Formats: sequence, structure tokens, C-alpha cells
Amino acid sequence: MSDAPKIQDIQRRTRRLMTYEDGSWDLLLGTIFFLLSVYPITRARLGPSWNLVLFIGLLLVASGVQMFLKWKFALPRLGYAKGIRSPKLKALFVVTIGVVILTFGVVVLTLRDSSWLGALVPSSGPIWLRRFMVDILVVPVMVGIFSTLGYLFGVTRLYLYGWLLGIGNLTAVIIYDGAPEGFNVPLGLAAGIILVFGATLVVRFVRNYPVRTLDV
Amino acid sequence: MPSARQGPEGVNHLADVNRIVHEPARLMILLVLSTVQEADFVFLLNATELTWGNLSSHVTKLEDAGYVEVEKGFVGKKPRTLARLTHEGRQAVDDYRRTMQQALDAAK
Repeated sequence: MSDAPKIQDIQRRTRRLMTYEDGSWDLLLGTIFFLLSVYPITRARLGPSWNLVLFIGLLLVASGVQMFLKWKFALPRLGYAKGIRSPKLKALFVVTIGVVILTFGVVVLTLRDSSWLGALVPSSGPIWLRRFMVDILVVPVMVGIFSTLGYLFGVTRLYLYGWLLGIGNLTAVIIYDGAPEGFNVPLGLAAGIILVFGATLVVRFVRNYPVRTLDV
Repeated sequence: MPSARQGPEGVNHLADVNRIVHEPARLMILLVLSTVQEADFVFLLNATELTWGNLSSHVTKLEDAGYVEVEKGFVGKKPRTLARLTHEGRQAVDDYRRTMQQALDAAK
């Protein structure tokens, strides 16, 4: 006699299959943060404005490649499913996108010109807080976003990603404080770990999901 | 002391549970479809891990009960069969969830 299916587990698994099963999302995320880890090098060569243009351009290319791979590679193996838009999910989606845009905006502003940070902390506050405030705040934001996604989709590795990226960024800011700009090792390492996860998932996906052609 | 036929209110509702929905394979199909607007049979195969014959047979039963509608079409030259829950199907899943929750709460 088979076990009765757990309702929430089945629904989480379904959502996970639609988004996180093929590893492409992990490869995209790892690529984005790897680009951020080489940002200081390209900024030194191109200047802040052109570097930002390059970063956004590469981001769009990476997103396009991910969408193409999903359509060409994952869809024939996984099948097609169109997500449901319940009011609760819509609200959650809007809030998540809002937080992501806010975080991205702060990151871009800081990469462009970090002098605006000084005005946010009272001059009586500790020096380390004034210096690293944004990066300290990035840690709970990253952990919050990724943990929420991990819970909703039942994807355990997302909890790890939040900590990796938040702590990686903070570590980099602390160890490179005042140092010449170069490759951001902690963030690059975090991105590398995520890319390895992504590559492993792709291999597993190809093995577990052969192309099916059903003549129904 | 309550007789064997009588139990706490809520547990008695188990006798009325929708047996079309209650069957594990069909329940899985309905739950997967309740999470999406529509899905093709390849996705349902992967999501439910049923065999093709099992999936086909249970979807047919759900279609006969009016809980699922099936649409056959093509994507380019490849045939594709889509399944989606009907309004009655969503209602049946909600009713089933409520019944089971009442029974579980009554059994505590």
C-alpha cells in the first residue's frame, strides 16, 4: 500500500520542477555574481559608467541564454507547465521583485559611487558601521530573499546561497577595504560554488529526464 | 461511550470523502494540476512519476468525472496534450483538503 501523498510536498515539488530542476537558474545566478566579482577589474579599465553598461549588457545576454536553454533543452525533457497566478503568489512575486530591484539599485549605486553612504549613518556612529553599513544590511536581505524562495519551492540549496552571497560580499568589502581593486575572491568563490551546483544539477537533469516524445 | 459507528465529528466526514479524488495517483494528478494553470502530459509524467499507462487511465477517469479537461493540439509538428483542472475539479480538491483537515483535527 503506497503512502498517502503529502499535499504541500507535491505542490512544492511541482513548483520546483518548473523553475529549479534543470540547473539553469543556478548557472545564471552564479554567472551574475561571477560578473560582479570581476567588476572591480573592468571598472578600473573602463570607468564606472561604461563598466555599468557592460555589466547590464552581459546580464541581458546571460538571461537570454538561460531562457533559450530552458526552451530548447529543458522543455523537451521536463514538459510544459504554465504557472498559476493566485493573488497570494502575485503579491509575493511583486514584493520579491521589489526587494531585488531595491538591492540591485543599492549595489549599482554603490559600485558607481559609494560616497552617498556616508550621509545615511549619524556621524556619532561607530566608524566600522559607517563604512560597512550597506554590506552588513545586504546579508539579511540576501538570506531573507533566498530563504523565502527556498521555503516556497522546497529547494534546500537556496538557503545556502543566501548566506554564501551575503557573507561573501561582506567578507570582500572588509578584506579589500582600502586595498587596490582586483578580482573579488570571496564573491568569486561564492559564485564558483553556485556554478558547480548548477553544473551538477544539469548533469543530473540530463540523466534523470530523457527527452520524451509522446504521441497522445 | 460512542459506538464504533460514531466517532468525533469530523472523523465521520471521512465516510463521505470523494473516492475519485482520494485515490493516491489521482490525488497527485489533481494536486499537480492545482498548482499550475495547465500542463502537458510529459510534465505530468515527471511530476507524478506514474507510468504512462497509469497516468492516461487516471486522467481519463478524472476527465469523465468532469474534474479535468484535456486539450489535444500541436506545437509545430509535434503533438502536445494539455490538461487543466476545471472549476469543479478545483472545488473537489478544496473540498477534499477541507474534509481531510477536519478529520485530522478531530482525531487530535
